[in-house]
Amino acid sequence: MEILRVENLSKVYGSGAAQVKAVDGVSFSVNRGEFVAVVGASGSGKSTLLHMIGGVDRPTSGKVFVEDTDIYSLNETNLAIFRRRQVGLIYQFYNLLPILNVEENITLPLLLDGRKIDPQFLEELLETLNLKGRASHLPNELSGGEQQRVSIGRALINRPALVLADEPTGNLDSKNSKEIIDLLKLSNRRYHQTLILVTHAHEIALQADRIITLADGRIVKDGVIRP
Amino acid sequence: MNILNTLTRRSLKLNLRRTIATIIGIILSAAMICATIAIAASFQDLFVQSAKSTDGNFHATFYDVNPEQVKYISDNAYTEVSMLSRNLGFARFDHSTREYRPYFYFKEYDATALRHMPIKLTAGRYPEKAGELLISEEVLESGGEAYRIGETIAFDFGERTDTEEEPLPADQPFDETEQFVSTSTRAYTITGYIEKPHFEHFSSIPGFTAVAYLDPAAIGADDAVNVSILGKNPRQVYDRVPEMAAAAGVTDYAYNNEILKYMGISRNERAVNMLYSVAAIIILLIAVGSVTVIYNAFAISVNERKKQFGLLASTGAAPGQIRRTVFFEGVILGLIGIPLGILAGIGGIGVTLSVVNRLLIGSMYSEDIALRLVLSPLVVPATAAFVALIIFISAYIPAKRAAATSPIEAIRLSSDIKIDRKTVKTSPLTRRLFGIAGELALKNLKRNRRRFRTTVLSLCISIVLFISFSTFVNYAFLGTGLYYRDIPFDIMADVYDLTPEAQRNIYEQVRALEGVERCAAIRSIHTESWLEREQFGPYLQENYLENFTRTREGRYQFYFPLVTLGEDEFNTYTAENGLTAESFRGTENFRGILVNKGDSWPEAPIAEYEPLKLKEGDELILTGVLVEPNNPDIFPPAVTMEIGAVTDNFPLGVSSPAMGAANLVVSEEIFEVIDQIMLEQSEHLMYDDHEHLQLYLIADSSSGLADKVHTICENYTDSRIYIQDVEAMQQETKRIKTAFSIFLYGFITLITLIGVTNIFNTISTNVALRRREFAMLKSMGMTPEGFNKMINYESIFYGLKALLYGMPVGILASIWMYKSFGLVFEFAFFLPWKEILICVVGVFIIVFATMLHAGSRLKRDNIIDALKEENL
Repeated sequence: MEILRVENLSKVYGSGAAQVKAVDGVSFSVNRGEFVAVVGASGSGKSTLLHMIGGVDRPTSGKVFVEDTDIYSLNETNLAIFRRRQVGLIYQFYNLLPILNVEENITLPLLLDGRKIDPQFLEELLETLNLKGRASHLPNELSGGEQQRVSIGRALINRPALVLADEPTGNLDSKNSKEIIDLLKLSNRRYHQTLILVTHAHEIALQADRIITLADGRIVKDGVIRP
Repeated sequence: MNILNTLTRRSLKLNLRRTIATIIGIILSAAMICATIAIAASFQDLFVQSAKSTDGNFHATFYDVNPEQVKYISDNAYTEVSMLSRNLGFARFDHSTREYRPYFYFKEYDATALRHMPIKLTAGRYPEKAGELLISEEVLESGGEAYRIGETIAFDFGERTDTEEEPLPADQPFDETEQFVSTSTRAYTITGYIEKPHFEHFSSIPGFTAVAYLDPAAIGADDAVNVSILGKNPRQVYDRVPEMAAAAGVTDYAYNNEILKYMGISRNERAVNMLYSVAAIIILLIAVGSVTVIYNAFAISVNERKKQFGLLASTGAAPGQIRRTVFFEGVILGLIGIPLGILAGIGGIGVTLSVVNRLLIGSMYSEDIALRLVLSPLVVPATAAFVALIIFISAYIPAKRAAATSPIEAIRLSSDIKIDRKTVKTSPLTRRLFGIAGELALKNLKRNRRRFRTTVLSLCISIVLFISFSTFVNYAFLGTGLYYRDIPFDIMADVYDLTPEAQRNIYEQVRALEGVERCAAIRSIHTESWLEREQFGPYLQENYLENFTRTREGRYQFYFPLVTLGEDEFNTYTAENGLTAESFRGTENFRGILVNKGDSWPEAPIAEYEPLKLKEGDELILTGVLVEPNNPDIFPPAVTMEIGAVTDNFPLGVSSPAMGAANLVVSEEIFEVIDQIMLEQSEHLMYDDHEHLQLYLIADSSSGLADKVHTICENYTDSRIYIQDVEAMQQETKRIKTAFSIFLYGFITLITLIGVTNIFNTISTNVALRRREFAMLKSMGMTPEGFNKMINYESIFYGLKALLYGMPVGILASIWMYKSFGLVFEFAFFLPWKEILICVVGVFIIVFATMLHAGSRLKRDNIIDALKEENL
């Protein structure tokens, strides 16, 4: 069952001679529950592609369909709600709100919706994230790995259709990296969440079901590893 | 508990310095707006109080009303308070030492009228029943020692008639030939004295005021009284009173214009209009200043939280939600700032007014009137609503901008990265002139156009406010300077009922007193002349000539009071004007000195002008002023006067006459001759029989001098002696000017404070936001000196641009203020150059100081921390 379809997506910066095509006419689709890795050298457009799929960066041309909705045809408010409920974005540099504590950061999407937190679910999540007992700490009191785990929690709290991770381990040591990837794989297997992960580390990419390779903004290889 | 509001609250707490600066901005504006409204209301209240004491506390009067009509008017739905009064007429005052005031003039007031009419009890008590009386305390000094409190005295009422037994109108001045026909005798018990009523000053009724009790029950069906009312809604008075009059069948009614005009109800009232139009301008300027400060604060806050907003958007916060958090910030700051500001404003004004009252007490108004803090119930909600509106307007654009932030841009702060090459292009000349530091400074300013413009705009507004207010202060002083003239003499004595010999003696003795430098004895003769249009100066030709009486041949009536000064003073005056006194003494050909200056008081706008276009050598035909000008059988005596000189200096003791007259100064010799000529026909003329002497003294030390002059005068008359000690009055004028200064400079200070807060806030945040940038420059090897240079250049660019736009606008605002003041005062336009200079210097000092302070904090930064900074 197709959950994501990207049609001819492009992102161009600048104009004339100084034009830079970060993403150049990319098209592909992803089925529900797939674990896709997007790889490529620095500047190949991976992050840009991911951000466009997540609705945080408007493309220059092309369309993105999530669950058959053309997300860039939505108005600002509905696009925001889309981001809140359908997508979980994990960034390389955590991007937590420094003045909210762990629990508030994780539950931010829910709070924006005005919904009440299911304490049971939260407990479970904190347990899974190995953050039990850290609920009221501020980000600057956490290690890098802990912060990244908080941001994963934030991405998962709303049980979104798509989880998009942009170099989630880029800032972490190997032990933490492994933990993070395991967590993501867990949510992918257990909750059937579609996971698209951008990385330039091959050992991480090889853990995915499918690898899409980008170079100069275009797909050069799209192969299934584990069918 | 809304997460976004929690975020806002925490952000505010974290950036405490900026939060407090913004709250201060709100407090300042609320305080100033509140204060302005309160002051305007207090001044208006002062005028109203004064009007009540001079003209009475009522809105309108119906005359000649019968009891049935009285009932209709008193019971009318519109009438809040009604009072009855009546004029009873004249009674003999046989012992009066004032030859032209041999009567009492009786009024009757009921209990309410006694409390509302403009009489002031100075001793005893108000009458409470029929037969009780108040009399003017002046009576005691004018031969009425017998009229003591507690005495019952019989008064002889009657009618004044002329020689043909025709009744005379009440305001006909006393004439020796008139007769008094007794009609009745009534006894009254005196229960108290009143101060000489204000209305006596302007009335020619030759009687001392006596106020008896009017018993409403004693009014017969055929009697007529006057009913005065206070209406429930004063604003409707011009509609309701005619209605009531028509319904009651009353044809004669009048409004108490004095009180109505100060309440702002009477139309075309310039004084109150000026007060409120100036207040409106001030509030507008304050509002503009406030919006700038508060807008800036929000713009900065939004800018700093840009990354936060981007994160929220990326996590799914809708644009509306983000917009609302910015407004929420406004709500929090407003809830703290507005009440504090209103309290500060009211408190500040309360304190200021009590200080000012101490200065003003006993001066321009009588002692029981003071500047009260008038808090109309509207002041608080009006100020709160106004400031809330200001906050809303200020937050609106930043809120919209916050909501429109694209999530990814905010996360990366890449709007700072997205630069067009052309935007930051600077000419090679810049680098040559200012070095790399200057070039960097200029590029910085160019690439962040919007931020640059906002900062320059704040600076501009501060400049405009400062210049406008300085202008206001200067004009206000000039205006009050025009109103409160500097008095050119130290002592004035006004003495009545003197024979010419007594006058001579007094003059000789006074001028010989130790300490007297100059002494002028002023006497005058009324004369008039008929002039052609061309002989009038431009001011009169353009403004008032059409109001003067005119003959069929097109000549206009103009008065020439002939004035003499006493020998010594005449010699001094001629010498001062470069003339020889001798040439003005000859009685063969009369020569006089024309004082060609007038001022338009009390007409508004008040202006000084030259009434006539006459010159040396011109001749005037002067005639006596007839009492009955239209009587064809009477020809007034005429003399020819050559204008020996024209000057614009007033001699000692002579001031600007009313509109339509100009003084002619003549020598004693000529004065005596002309006086004799006029005397021959004095019964037909407005002839002053010179029983009244006016002396003006300049003394080198006036202490005790006033008493000495009084003693001298007492030897020659039992009549009223009026001595004015000017030093006391000058002290008073000084105090009044000080009082005004306090208000005006207080405002300037607060306005400047708003400006400085603004500039400080903006510039220091600008610098703080570029922490990363500066760190990078430092990491590339920029020296502290280089850094300083860059900062300095930025300061210079800000200052120059701000002055470039701010100055002209400030000057325009000054012109606007000049026009407002021109409604009441007229003076030449001028710019406050001193203040403009202060402004220029001030702007640069503030900008430099702020940048230096902000920059110094950055210099101490650890480079790598700044590069990695997790800015909130």
